[in-house]
Amino acid sequence: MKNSLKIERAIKNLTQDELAKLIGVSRQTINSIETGRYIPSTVLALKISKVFEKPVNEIFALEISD
Amino acid sequence: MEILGYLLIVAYFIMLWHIFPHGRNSLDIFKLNPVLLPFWWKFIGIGWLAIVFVYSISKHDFNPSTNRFLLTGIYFGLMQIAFSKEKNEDEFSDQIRIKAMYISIISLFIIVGVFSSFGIATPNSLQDIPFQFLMMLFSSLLIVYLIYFYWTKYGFKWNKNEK
Repeated sequence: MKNSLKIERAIKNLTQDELAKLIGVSRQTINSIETGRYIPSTVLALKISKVFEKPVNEIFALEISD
Repeated sequence: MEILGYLLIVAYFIMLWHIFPHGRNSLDIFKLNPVLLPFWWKFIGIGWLAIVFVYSISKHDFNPSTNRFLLTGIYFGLMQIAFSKEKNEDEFSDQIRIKAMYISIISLFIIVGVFSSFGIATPNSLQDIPFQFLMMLFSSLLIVYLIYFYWTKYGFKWNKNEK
């Protein structure tokens, strides 16, 4: 699964730490999601989409391998 | 020293009651939530390990057969560090914790398997495995778990602070 979290963060001018605080997770969690190491749960994905005011499938998208 | 032993037994029961997954009167694994010790408890574990090392250094005794406090103390300290929450406990740390525990349990099965095979390959070589060996084995598993957990969370070169 790929995601545009880094781009969305840049648009909103948020650091990883600020985003992490907004959704109540650790900075390492945001970093791991951005690098594709960790796939967040639906709850976390919905919290992220709420922060960026965009639907989940605009931030997260399936890849051919999924 | 005997009183300390009894106190540790009580402490283990309190820990068991605290950290054992609780569910709303259900055994359904999806309803069981792992309950961990508070974040600050980690420092009690670290302090405990420091006491064990200071005690052993002061006695000039790092031999587990004569220094009974050594392995018991290390194990107790590591347990408290391993089962304390992170400062920011979230689903990511939950998942790493489960995977790190899985890796250490797999290592345990392999090590026990290898040692039991040694018993057949070279008869009489492993007649009586002392309890100290078991303590060392389990302490090293907790160390494997802690290293894997913290390495995954903080240690990767790509997991650096980024603007």
